[in-house]
Amino acid sequence: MRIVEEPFGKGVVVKPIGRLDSTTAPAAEQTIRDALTRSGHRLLLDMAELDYVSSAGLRVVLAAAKQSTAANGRFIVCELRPQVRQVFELSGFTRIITIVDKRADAEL
Amino acid sequence: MATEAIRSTRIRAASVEVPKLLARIEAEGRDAALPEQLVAELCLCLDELLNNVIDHAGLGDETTIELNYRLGSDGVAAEIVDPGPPFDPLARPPVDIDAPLDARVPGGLGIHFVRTLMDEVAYERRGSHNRLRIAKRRGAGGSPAISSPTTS
Repeated sequence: MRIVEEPFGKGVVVKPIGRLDSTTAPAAEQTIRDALTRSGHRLLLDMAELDYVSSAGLRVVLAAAKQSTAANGRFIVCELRPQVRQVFELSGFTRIITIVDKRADAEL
Repeated sequence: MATEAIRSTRIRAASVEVPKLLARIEAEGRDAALPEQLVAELCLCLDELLNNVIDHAGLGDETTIELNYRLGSDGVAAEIVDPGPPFDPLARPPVDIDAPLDARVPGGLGIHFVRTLMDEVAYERRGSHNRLRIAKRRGAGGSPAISSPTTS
């Protein structure tokens, strides 16, 4: 997996590309944690090129949402593809995490 | 006549082995012209269950886990056999998916996916091995359609 990061609004957008599973989650978690810290905890997670997520990947998303909330920041997820959306729905994440359709809909 | 592929394989108890195995199963599903969604759901469940065994059974990464599976036009099934200490992943309490963010704790979601997506899930300790069987019939209920709108 590859992770692309760039400034966005008052924060940063992080875009994981490929599969977010048990093998890739530890590195992704570290990258996102660092990006949150550097961006004043304002982070948009762009899932447009995320092919697959398992519960190991959801752990990363949950940790990021909690870290951001604890710091009074903003954590938004966008561009969920069908498999990712299904897993978010099965987990109840669609009710506890701010999700928007497109990057342009996100305000950090 | 129903198309089907029946396979038996072994992987080392190391998480890097899992994506390779899943890619192979997805390719076999495509070759057999099975519904992508059905195979994808089986692969997600296998990812969760195999990693559960790898993370919790305390096996050395040279130990192997056996996987028997069947991909059929009428449904899919799999059995994971591992030599770890007795462990029934179905015994853990269900995760509360309605809890608010600050009350959510990591863990338990993998088994929740398996219970939700599969029609059958059964654990058995036989001899010195754990055996977990999962199955899903084609077109059977149990999971929301992938394109269904969020209802809550």
